[in-house]
Parts: sequence; structure tokens; C-alpha cells
Amino acid sequence: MTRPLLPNKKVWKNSKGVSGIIAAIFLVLIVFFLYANVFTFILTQNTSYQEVLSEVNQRDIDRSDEKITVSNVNYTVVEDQVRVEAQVKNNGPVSVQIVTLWVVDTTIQKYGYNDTLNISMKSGDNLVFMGLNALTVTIEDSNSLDVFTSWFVTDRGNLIPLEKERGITVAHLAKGIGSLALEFYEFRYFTYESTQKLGNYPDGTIGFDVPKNEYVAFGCYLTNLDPAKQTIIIDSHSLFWQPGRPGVSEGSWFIVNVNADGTIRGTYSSISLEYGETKMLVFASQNDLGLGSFSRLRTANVVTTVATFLLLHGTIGSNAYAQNIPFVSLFYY
Amino acid sequence: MEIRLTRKVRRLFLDRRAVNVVVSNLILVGAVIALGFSVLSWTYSRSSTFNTEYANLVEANSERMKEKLVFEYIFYNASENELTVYLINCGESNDVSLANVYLSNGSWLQSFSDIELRFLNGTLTESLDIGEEGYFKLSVSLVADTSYSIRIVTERGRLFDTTFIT
Repeated sequence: MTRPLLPNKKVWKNSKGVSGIIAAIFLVLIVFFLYANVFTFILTQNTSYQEVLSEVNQRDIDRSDEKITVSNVNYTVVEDQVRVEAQVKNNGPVSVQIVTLWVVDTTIQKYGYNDTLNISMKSGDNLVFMGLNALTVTIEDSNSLDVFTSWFVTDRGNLIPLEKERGITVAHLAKGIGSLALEFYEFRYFTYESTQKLGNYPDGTIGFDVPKNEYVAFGCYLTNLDPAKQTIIIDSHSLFWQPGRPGVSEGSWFIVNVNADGTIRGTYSSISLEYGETKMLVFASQNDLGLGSFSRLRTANVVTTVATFLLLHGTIGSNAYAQNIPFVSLFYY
Repeated sequence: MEIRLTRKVRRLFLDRRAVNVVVSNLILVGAVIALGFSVLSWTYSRSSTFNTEYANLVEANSERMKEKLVFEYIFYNASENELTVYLINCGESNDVSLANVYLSNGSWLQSFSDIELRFLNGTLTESLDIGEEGYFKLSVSLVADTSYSIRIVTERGRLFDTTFIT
């Protein structure tokens, strides 16, 4: 006799214990529900927490992997703007985002920062911030001869110090060629808005390409680096001289005083430069304003390259002073 | 056929035997089902609450773990007795706000709770998002050329320390 697969009919017909079975089903449902809902949820949450921990650890590893070297650091100050020149190389295996440059003038105990950098560097990148590309930070009353400390801040929170390496001090260099030093990359020219007013003063156009046959004035920044720390007075006989040669007419732009709105004054009052001070001098007049009146001057009407010189005249301390700075080359176009 | 069915239905309603047992079984089954559903719904509600609380806890811990503040620069102005602390949020959590700041030099400790956090442009802010930089100032008299420790406690409870020399 074969045994039936399903329970005996009596089991189905017997209604006793049904509530127990239903209760057991509910119990199983509750246990299953708890397991499915709570246990798996906790498991998911724990997994996500582990992922966060991994991310944090990875970020710390990336942070410690950042390796930036900064060399050839130099500081110059032009009208409260500290120009930081440096060569920056990413020697690490990860990309780096430089977000802020901090500069502390330890001489006057003031500081400033530039938080608009956003410099991205891939592994192996080498960036040079020299000349026109120098990084700038504003520090009031700062001076080129002050002692500076600076550092970069990366977006991962690393602080990278800029260590100054300077073989020749600017002061020693100045002693050899004269007490006034030129901020080479700040050279600029101005065009005229009217006969005696500069149109784009004080920004001008920075560079060494100048339009030919155009009324222009020239501006350059000079720093007093006199080792004896004397004040230098620049008088009206100072000029920006462009020698002539066959086919190219000579030009002399004498020093002038300029109002904040760009208006050139008809007379000239001497400009003084304290030790360490940097000022922009403007050369615009065809005549020496100590001897004649102002009139503007055109550049040569030829496409060519010319040499120029700064002929400075005045006093240093109580002594007479004059200096000829072999200046920039200009291309008239 | 129809007559037989009608007779059966009539007998079912007229037969009074064992009615009490059926009714009691029906009540018991109903009670068990009702109780089962109520327990199930209670379990669901409790587990949902637990899940929500646990999720909040895990999220809070995660956000706290991801917080990272770095001290960019600390400057003490001796003439104005003012300490300025510059920070950058270089972590991965937004809305990092400061709950307390503690300043100490070993034996001495001072706490500050009402911190005015500002962006670098001077705008007042409650918190720093990812990548944002800010600063706060503390009015405190410090001794020159002395080492001090500063501890920042964030609203999420994370601690950040550094030392500086005035």
C-alpha cells in the first residue's frame, strides 16, 4: 500500500489548532521581516560607513602623497603689491590644486594672501611664475628689502613653504651698477586720451611692442636699493632715450608728474625715492619740464626694433646722482 | 438537483450542533489574525524608526569622519590683543561650523563659544563648505614668544588642534 504524499484528509478537516498555525505563520513573517528589513539595512549602512572610512583614508593617503617643490623664489614689491616669483614642480604621483598663496612680511609683521590662484598641476608639471606671470599679494607698507615668508595651500590642506634661494643679493647687484633697480617686467606704455591726458593710466599696456608713429608715454618702476640707504631725488633732467640710427629718428621722453586721473602736469616737481621704495616714473614730454613746456612725442614711423635707455639725474642723500640704465629693447609695429 | 442543494443549505442553518465550537474557533482565528497584523505593523513601525535612527547615526558619523579643517595661518596682533585664525575646509563635508574653540598653554585654558566665522572677504557665515576658506578672531591677551595650543570643536563633534608661537 502506497503512502499518500499529502497529509490525511482528517488533518484538513480538523479545524482545531488553526489559530496556532496562523500565529506561527505570523511569527515566521515577523522574523523574516525583521531579518530582511533591519538586518539587511544595518548591513547596507555598515557597508556605506566602511566606504566613507575608505574614502577618508584614501584622501589622507593622497594628501601625504602630494609633493611640490618650489625653487628660485624671489620677492619684489611694487606699490604694496608683493610679486612672488617662483618655479613650482609637482614631483608627487597625484595631481595638485594650489588654492591660496600666503605671504608674511616679517619685517613689518603684516601679511596678505591671494586666494584666486586655482592652479592645477598634474604629476610632473613644472610651472614658472616669473616676470609677467609672477604671483601677487597685497601687503600695505611692504618693501622690497623686507624679509618675507610664504607658502602655498593646496585643496587637500597641505601647506607648502616657499624657500628663498638667492645667490646674489639685489643690494650687492645695485652697488655694482647703480642704486636704482628696474622692475623689468613692469615696463609699460600709455596712449593719450587728449593732448595732455593719458587714456589708460596707470595700467597702461605692459610689454615691449609699441605702435609706430603714435603719441605715447612710457612708464617704468624703479626701486631704490642704495646700500647706504639714502633717499634719491629724481629731477626734471631725467629722460627715456631712444637713440636714432639711419632710417629711425631719435626720441627723448622727459620725466613728468601725472595726476591720478592720467592728466600730465605742465610743471615738474622732483620725485623722491626712499630706501627700499618702489615707484612708477612716467616719461612723456618732448621737452625737459625744468627748461621748457610739455608737448607729447610720437614714436618713430618705421617698423623696427630699437634700443632704449633710462638717463636718470638728481641727488642721492646730499650728493649729486646720475645713472644710465641700459634699458629694454622695443619693437615698433 | 436544485432541491437537494436548497435542502442542504437549510440543514446547515437549522443544524444547531457544535455551533459554539465553530463560533469560538472563528473568534480565535479572527483574534489571532488581528493580533498578528497589529504585531506585524508594530514591528514594521519600530523597525522603521530604528532604521531611521540608525541611518541618521551612520550619516552623522560619516559626515563627522569626512570633516577636515586645516589651519592656514594664525596671527596674533599684540597691539589689539586679537588672535586671527585662518582655516580651510579641505574635507568632504559641507556645512562645517564651529561649536567651541579652546586656547591653552599647558596650565592655562580659555574657551570661546560664540565664534564669528567669516569668509576671507569678511562676509559673516555660519559654516564652511568644501574648499571654502574663512577666519575667526578671538579677543585674548597672550604673552609674546610663547607657545599656545588651539583646539577647534565642530558642531558635529570633530576636534582639530594645532600649536603656534606668538
